[in-house]
Amino acid sequence: MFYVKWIPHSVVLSPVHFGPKLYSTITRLVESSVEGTALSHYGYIIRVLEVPEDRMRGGVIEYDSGEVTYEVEYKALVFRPFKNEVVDSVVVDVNQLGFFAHLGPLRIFVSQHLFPSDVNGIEGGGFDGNSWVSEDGVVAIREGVGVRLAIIGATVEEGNITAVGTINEDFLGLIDVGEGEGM
Amino acid sequence: MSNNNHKCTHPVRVGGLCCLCGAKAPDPEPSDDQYSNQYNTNNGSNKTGSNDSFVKSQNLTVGGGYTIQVTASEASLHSSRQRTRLRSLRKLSLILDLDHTLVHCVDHEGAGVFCKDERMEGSVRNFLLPAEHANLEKGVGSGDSLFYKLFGFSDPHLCRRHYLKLRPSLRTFINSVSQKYELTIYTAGTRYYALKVAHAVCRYMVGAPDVDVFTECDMSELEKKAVDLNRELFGNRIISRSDTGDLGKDVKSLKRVFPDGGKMSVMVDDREDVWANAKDNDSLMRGREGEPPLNLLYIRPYHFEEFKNFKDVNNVSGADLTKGGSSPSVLDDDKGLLWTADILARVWARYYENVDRVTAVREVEKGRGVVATTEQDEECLEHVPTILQKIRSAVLPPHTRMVFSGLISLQEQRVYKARVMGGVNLPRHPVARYAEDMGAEVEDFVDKGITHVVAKRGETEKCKEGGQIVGCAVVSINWLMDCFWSLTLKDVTPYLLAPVKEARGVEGGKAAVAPSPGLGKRKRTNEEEEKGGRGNERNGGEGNDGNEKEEEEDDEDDDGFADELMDEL
Repeated sequence: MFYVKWIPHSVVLSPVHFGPKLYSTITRLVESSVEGTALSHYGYIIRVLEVPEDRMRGGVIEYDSGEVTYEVEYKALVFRPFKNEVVDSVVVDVNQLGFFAHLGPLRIFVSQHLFPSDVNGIEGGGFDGNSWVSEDGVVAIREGVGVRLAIIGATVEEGNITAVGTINEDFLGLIDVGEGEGM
Repeated sequence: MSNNNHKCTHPVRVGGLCCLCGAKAPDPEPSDDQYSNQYNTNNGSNKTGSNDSFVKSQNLTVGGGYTIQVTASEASLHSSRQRTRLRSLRKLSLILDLDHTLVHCVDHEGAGVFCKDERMEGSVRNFLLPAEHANLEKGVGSGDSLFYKLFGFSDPHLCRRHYLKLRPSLRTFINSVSQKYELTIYTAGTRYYALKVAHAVCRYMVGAPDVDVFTECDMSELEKKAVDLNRELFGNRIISRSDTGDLGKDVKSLKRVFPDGGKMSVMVDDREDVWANAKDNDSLMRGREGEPPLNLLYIRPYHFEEFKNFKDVNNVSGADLTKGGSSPSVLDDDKGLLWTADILARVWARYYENVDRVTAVREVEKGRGVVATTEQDEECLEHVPTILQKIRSAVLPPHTRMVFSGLISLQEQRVYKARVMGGVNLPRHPVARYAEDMGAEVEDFVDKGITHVVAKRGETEKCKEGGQIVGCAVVSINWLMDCFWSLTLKDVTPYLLAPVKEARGVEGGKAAVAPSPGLGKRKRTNEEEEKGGRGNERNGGEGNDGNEKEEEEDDEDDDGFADELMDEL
C-alpha cells in the first residue's frame, strides 16, 4: 500500500555548505540518501515529495569538527506491504521451489506449497525446468507473466524489504500472460 | 514482530520469513558457518534460537540467484523431484565453470584488436560490464537492477569493456552436451558477468556478429535466436559470486544447487580446490576430506596465448602442471573441451544404460507382484560419482606402477607420510591422486617392476634409474595429465623423456600374440609379456565394467603395435 508520510531525518553538514544555498543542499542530501531505500517502521521510500524549510530546525554545531546537525522532516511517498494485502506483480524468476515476483522494489516469493494443488504436483502439474504448468496446461507460470497474489508475510527492515505470498485462494493466480517483457 | 512466541515448523524460508504461514522466523542464516552448523547439530544449543526442524536447514541457491532456506526433508523432496524430472528428459545435469574453463576473459583495452581479427573466426567477443561496485552486487535481484539497466550501461565511468575469448571447440562442446545434459553455470564472477558471458556464448552459437547488445536497439532475427537459445541452454540456472557469500572465499558447494550431493550431476571446472574447500561436497563419495568430489571433471585451464599479458578479470586459474613443459604450444590447439565432451558422453551412456537395466528388472518384478520403492531403485543405481570413479580407474592398464620425480617435494612427502602414519586421512598430492584414481600404484623408489617414471624434467636421478629398467617408460608429466584430462590412455611415445630400454632377445611374434594393452610401444619384454597376459585376464574379468570406447582405444593401440612389429620383421 502507498502512503504519504512525514518522516524525520537528520543531516550533517560541514561548514563549507553554509551559504545562500544551504536549504537546497539539505533538500538534495535528504533526497539522495533516502530515495530508493527501505526504512524500518515506514517502508520503501519511493520519492521525497517535499522538504519544507520551516521544518528544518537549525542545528547544533559539533564541538570538535565544526559540522552542524540539522533535524529536518520531509514528506515522502512510501510503499509498504501488508499481510493479507492482494497485489498484482510480475514474475521474475521461476524455480523448483516456487517463484519470485516483483512489485516495484518489493520482491515476493511464493512457495510451491502455496500453489493450487493442480499446479504444484500434488494433484498433477509440476515444474518443467522453466515454468510451473497446471495439470490441464492452461496455467503456466513462467518468467514475465503477471500474477495476482496475497501477501502472507513481509519484513520491512533497514535496507531489506521482502515478502512471501500465496496464490492458493479464490481469485488469485495468473492474470496476464505478458509475452516475455518482464522487468 | 508479533509472532515472538509462535513456533513455526514449516520447511521453507526466505529472508527470515516462513513461506507457508508468513511468520517471522529468527534468521538462522549464518553465512560463515552454515557448513559447520550442519555437522554440529548435536551441539544442542543453536545460537540463533530457531526451531528444531530448522537446525538442519541448508541454504539452497535457486535459479535467478536467490537463496532459500529449506529443511532437510524439504531438500530431499526437492531433489527427488529434480531427479524424476531429469530422468524423464533423459538428461543429467552439468555444472560449468566459466573462467578458464569455457572462456578466457580480460578487461584490458589492448585486447580489443582481436575482436576484429579474422583469424579468430568470431571467437573473441566484447561486452560492457558495470565496474565492480559494492552496491551493484548487493542490488542484484532488487530494484537496483533497474537503475543499472537505465543508467549503468551508458555511463563510461561505471562501465568497463571486457574481452572474451571463447575456448576452441566450444560450439561443438555445447552442441554435443546440451542434448544429454541440463547446463548450469556456477562461476566466481559477478552475476552480470555470468549473464553477459552466457549471452555472448549464445550469440556465438547462433553465429551472430560481435556487437555490444546495448548499442543495438532493434532485436534482429539472430539476436532473438540467441535469446531463445540462452533460455533453452542455461535458462535461469546461473549461480554467481553475487548470489552466494562463500564464492568470495573460494568455495563452491554442490549442495547449494543439488541438495542430494549431485548424484546426477557432473561439474566441469579448471580448479579442484574450490570444490575441495567446501566441506559439504560429500566426503562420503571419496572418503577423504579435502579432496575434490568424485563427480568433478577437472579440465585443463584454458589460457588464450594472446591474452597472457593481461590480468584476469575474476579469479586466478587452476594450477596447470604441464605449463612450461616442452610441448610446443601452437596457436590455440586446445582440446580440453573435446576431451571433456567425450567423457561426458561416456558418463551419460553408462548412466542411462544402468537406468534402463534397473527399469527393466523392475518391470519384470512388477509382473511377479514385487513392488520396489523408489528408494530401493536409487540404491540399485550407479550414480554419476561412482561411474566417473570406475571410468577413471580403468584408464591405465592393470599393474601400472609409477614413480614420480621432481613433482612432489621431499618436504611434502615427509609431512604427508608422518601425518598418515599418525592416522590422519590427509588429502593426497594431486598428482598422486590422479595416478591412483586412474588405477596406478604409486611407488616411492624405482625398482624392477616399475612401468612408468613420471617426471617434470628428464635429468633426475630417478629418471636415470628408470631408463635402466627394461620396459620402463620415462615420460613427462604431460602424459599423465593428458590421460587424466581425457580419461583415455595416451600413447607414451610423444611424451618420452628418454628412449625406453629394450630387452635383448625379444621375440616379436610372441609379443604380438599377447600384447599387454596400451603399455606403450617398443617396450615389450618377456617379463612384460607375462604381466600383459595377466593384465588381459583381469581385463577379461572386468569386461563388463570397461566401456566400449576404452576397449576401442586399446584395440587401436594393439593394432599399431602389431603393425609395427610386422614392419620390423
